[in-house]
Amino acid sequence: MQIQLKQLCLQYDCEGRKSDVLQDIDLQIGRGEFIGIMGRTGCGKTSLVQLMAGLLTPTSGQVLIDGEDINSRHYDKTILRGKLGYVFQYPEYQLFETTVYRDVAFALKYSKLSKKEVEARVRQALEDMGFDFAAIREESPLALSGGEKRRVAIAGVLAAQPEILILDEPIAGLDPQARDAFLKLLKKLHAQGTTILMISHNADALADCAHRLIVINDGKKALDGTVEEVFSHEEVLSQMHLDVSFASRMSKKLALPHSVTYEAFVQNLKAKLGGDAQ
Amino acid sequence: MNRSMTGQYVQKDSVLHKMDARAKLLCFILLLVVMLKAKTVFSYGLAAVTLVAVCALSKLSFSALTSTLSRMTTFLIVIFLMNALFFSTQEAIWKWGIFTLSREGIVQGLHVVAHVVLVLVLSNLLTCTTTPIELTTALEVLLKPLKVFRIPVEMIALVLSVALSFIPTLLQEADTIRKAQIARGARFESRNLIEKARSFLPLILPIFLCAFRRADELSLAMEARGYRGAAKRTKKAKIPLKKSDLLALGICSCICAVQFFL
Amino acid sequence: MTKMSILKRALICAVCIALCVVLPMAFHSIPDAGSILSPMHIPALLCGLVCGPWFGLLCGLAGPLLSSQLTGMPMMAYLPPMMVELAVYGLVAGLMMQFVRTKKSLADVVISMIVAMLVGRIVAGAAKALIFAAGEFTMAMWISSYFVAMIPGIIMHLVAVPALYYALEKAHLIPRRYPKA
Repeated sequence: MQIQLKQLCLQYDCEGRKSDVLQDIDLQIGRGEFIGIMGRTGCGKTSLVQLMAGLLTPTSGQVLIDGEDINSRHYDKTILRGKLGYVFQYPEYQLFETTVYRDVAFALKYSKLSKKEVEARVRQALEDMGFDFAAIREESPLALSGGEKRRVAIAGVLAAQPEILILDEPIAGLDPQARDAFLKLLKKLHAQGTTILMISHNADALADCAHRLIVINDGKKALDGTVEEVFSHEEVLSQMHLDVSFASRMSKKLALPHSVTYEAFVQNLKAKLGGDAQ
Repeated sequence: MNRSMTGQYVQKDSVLHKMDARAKLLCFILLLVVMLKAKTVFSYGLAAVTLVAVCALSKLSFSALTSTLSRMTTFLIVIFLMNALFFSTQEAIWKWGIFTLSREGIVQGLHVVAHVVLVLVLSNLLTCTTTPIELTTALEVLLKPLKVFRIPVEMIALVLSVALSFIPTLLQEADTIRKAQIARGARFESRNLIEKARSFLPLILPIFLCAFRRADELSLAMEARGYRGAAKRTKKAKIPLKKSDLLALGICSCICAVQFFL
Repeated sequence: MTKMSILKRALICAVCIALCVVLPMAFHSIPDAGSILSPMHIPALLCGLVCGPWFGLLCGLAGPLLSSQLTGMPMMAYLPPMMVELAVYGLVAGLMMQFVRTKKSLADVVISMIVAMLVGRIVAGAAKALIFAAGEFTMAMWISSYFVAMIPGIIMHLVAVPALYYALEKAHLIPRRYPKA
């Protein structure tokens, strides 16, 4: 197992009162999985992934990455930084360098890569995010449009070529075209072996990409399973103010075999219509 | 970043909370004089009794009132020692190098520490029972006379209240940016001074950009909603002070006057 | 130079004051950053440079005051000289920006801030020697506490403030000082 969470708890001290953010989370994530994380606002999903990234320290419990406890005194966190990439919500706010090139290369500053390798990686990351490398490299990242800024910021994380990629609401606010291109890129990275965890409210995007869904409710793990399994609990999800994908909802309404992705739904629908016609 | 900020408003249902902020601010100034004027046993007694009475009226917990004190213990010890050891006098009890321990020095040190403690608890009382917005509005009213000197009191009050309301948001954004840059591998431990200075840019630049962006958005929103300069802002109708407020002012003035004779 | 509306300058001043409170707290987790680097100087200087002398003065006065009220830092004893120092930073930085015009905005910024940092330290030192710690504050103490101990901080301010000004111009959050013809 690449990531293991053992009885993870997180509490905040608020004016002397303790409030539980996360309670007793046990989780096993294998290498190369693509996991979607859902939950209503304030349920603790961001805290959960920040604990995995070592950005928060748990009140109790352990986070093991490749079998090593990342909060142990002897653990060198720079190893974790090289392994794990984290795309924050609104990553465009972390841009600061004078040129796009320097900003994307920031994550590689302390790596032992040669100048050529750094350039190759920056080029790869920017091209993956749909930029023309030569045209964009000397631009100021601060003068770009909102969508371009977000793509540059994500390229800054991808350039480090992390084994584990965590994304917090990466597609919120992207236009449909940019969103589809981005999801396609995630699928490509996943096919290359990257472990991906994506927080999103967009059930369709999760159904499209993820293989496993984890639902967090009130600081506890509520559901965990394949997308099909989780979306078959439509009632439970709606009690948590969450949605299933369009395909899942429609196939239930039309009494078709349950499907979660758009493509599968269309196929089922065609089969049904074709069957009726005969 | 979940450290609670001390001296912050604590919601309670007490006479002090209900009191008009303008009157409260004036009473605070009067009582401040009472605290700082304390010199003799009697005057300290008066100051302490007054403070305890006001604390009881506030219904605040002991920990809320003394929260700043615990953090300042070291500071209090240091100022006590500074006064006790460096007070220049002939009648030294003990002398070693530049250090001179004397009775006057110890007394002087105790005076300073006592004054600081009294003033801190008193200002905690004010900030715990009054929201920052109430406080700035009250300050704006009380500073009105400064307008004679062409000081734009309303503008200052606007700036201060906006600044206060931005602090929690900016704190959260700063925390997110810090985490994001650490996740990208930012480090702050370089030995080279220029390198070390540069290593803070990934933190400082985005924090300022976020803050300026907020200011920009707010100015657009305010202009869109028809803000036409601080001077022409329509004010809330003047609410006269209640009888209880006037009574409190009277009591505080009496205590203050008595203190001058003790 | 196209001027910003007074409302916008007032709001920028407000966020700079807020940053005087926020920055020391944000730096808290980084070892000795808060005490050595004096992050509070940056918003005060920048506010003067961007919003003019009067808002700079207000930021320098209100920033440390609010921070001390809300977080206990700086401690009461250091508060008055610090308010004087930062207020002079903001005031002088704003005044200098009105007079220095080299046709290069970053050069203007650097010249203005260096003058402001010098004048601020001189005034704060004088205030300490004459008012706050009369008789106990010596020339040697002034040099050690305002210059030698501050070297890392001074370097950071000299790096950060022009970088900030440049970034803000680039991001169109403040108008260009010398618009391209």
